[in-house]
Amino acid sequence: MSKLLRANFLRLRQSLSFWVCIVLQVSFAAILFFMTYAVYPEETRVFGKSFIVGPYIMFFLSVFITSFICTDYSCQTICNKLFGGHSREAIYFSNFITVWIGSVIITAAYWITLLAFSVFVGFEADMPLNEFWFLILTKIAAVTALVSLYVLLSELITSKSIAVTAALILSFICSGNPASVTNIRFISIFFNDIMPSGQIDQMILMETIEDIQRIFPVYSLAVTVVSSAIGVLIFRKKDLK
Amino acid sequence: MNKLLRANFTRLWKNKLFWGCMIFMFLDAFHTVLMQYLTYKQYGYEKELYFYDNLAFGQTVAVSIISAIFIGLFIGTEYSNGTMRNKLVIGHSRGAIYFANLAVCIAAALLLHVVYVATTLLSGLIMFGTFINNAGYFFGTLAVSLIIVTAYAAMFLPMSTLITSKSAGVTTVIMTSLVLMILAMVINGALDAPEVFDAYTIIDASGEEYSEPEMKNPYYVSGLQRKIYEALYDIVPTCQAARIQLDDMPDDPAVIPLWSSAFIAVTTAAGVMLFRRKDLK
Repeated sequence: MSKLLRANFLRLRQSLSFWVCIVLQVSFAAILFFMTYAVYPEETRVFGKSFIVGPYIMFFLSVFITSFICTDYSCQTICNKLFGGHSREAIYFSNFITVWIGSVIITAAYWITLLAFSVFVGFEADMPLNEFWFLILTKIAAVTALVSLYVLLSELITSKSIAVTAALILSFICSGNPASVTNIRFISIFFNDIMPSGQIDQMILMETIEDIQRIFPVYSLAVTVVSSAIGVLIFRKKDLK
Repeated sequence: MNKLLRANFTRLWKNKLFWGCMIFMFLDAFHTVLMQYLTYKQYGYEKELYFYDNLAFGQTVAVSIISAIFIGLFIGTEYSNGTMRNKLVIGHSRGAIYFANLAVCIAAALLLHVVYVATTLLSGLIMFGTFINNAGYFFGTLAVSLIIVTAYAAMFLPMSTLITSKSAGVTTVIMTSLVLMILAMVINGALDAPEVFDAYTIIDASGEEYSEPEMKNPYYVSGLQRKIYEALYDIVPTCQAARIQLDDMPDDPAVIPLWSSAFIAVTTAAGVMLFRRKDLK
């Protein structure tokens, strides 16, 4: 698996979508900082709940992950990997690990940019350190769950263009709060609390740290385990032609 | 060009994605009216509050993303399947290919929009027993919305035609439509924001009073920035669609169709020009 990972990381460094996502995240962070600075300069010193989540992350990750993984199919790399004697599980998990690291870097690009700017104007934290780390952990757990869902989608749909479209539609539907169309309690909990999109929404809208349930990282872990298990099972039996 | 049009429309009628989008628009419209009907049954009051003419235009902004998905994949297939090369090899001009594609994309986008409008009206007739309250307003708005939807197709076609990679093309087109949808929301919010927040006093349950004096809104957009926002609100198709959805039409009703027509002319001229010069390898 280490050879697969090495090859994947080499491809990650050369991936256009990866670098475009990073540039966009840095640009969004800079725009947010300067817009806030123009009106409330004292607030830009504060690094905490208001800066912890980057908006539109789902759209960036959906494009990055599906285009990265589906290139394996369009370039026939997947067949070469199988002919090279690698197991399907190793291929699935090496892809998962690569895009997970890429996604965490894309997410962190937003935080690092804001942190750098806020340090420049006199850094000030607006929450205790343990709460700050809890938020970071919750966000990374939500990103991990998102990654697992997009990897599942990408490995199942071999066509790159259809996978990208499907992932973007999924992101669009999830960002539109699908739970609001029904009053059924399970669906509401599923989309608002269990699904990573709902958790990210709640982190954006939170007033205090108490608004974020302590169980969120556990939900994200469960989503990751279930979707990865389904993904590996289906990918193992998939006819790759 | 007749042959190109016939071939394109044959492909359209056989396209599963197109029918999927049509079914989605139908279900979305039916669901919207059903939800309004259930709310009406629960709370009562006047039917016109729940089923109004503007309801039929409730997804004019969202048509942009549905048509972006369809156009991105439909046109991208021309490159991935080699259809584009075949069309050129048998002697069709690039201009004819572009306009034939434009015709089919406009037809598809209009059909998606019309299905939503027609389903809303028919569902309303079945559930509420009313059809159109103000025919003049309705047909005027319908005509404007059709021009806006045409502008969507005219905007997405050059992107899909000029990017030969199907996945890159579809990503660009969908992301553009998303960004323009967000832009419409941001501009609407900025232009709607009051210049001054009124003074107010709140008395809580314990009888304690909280007062805030009149305050200037720090996020109020003024000067050149406001002029730019207002111009974009008139010109960008998604902003125009938001104006229809929110019943925020300009005083002069000709403003939106005129800007849309100009938008269609400019994007089509640019698209044809760039496509003629494109190296298709």
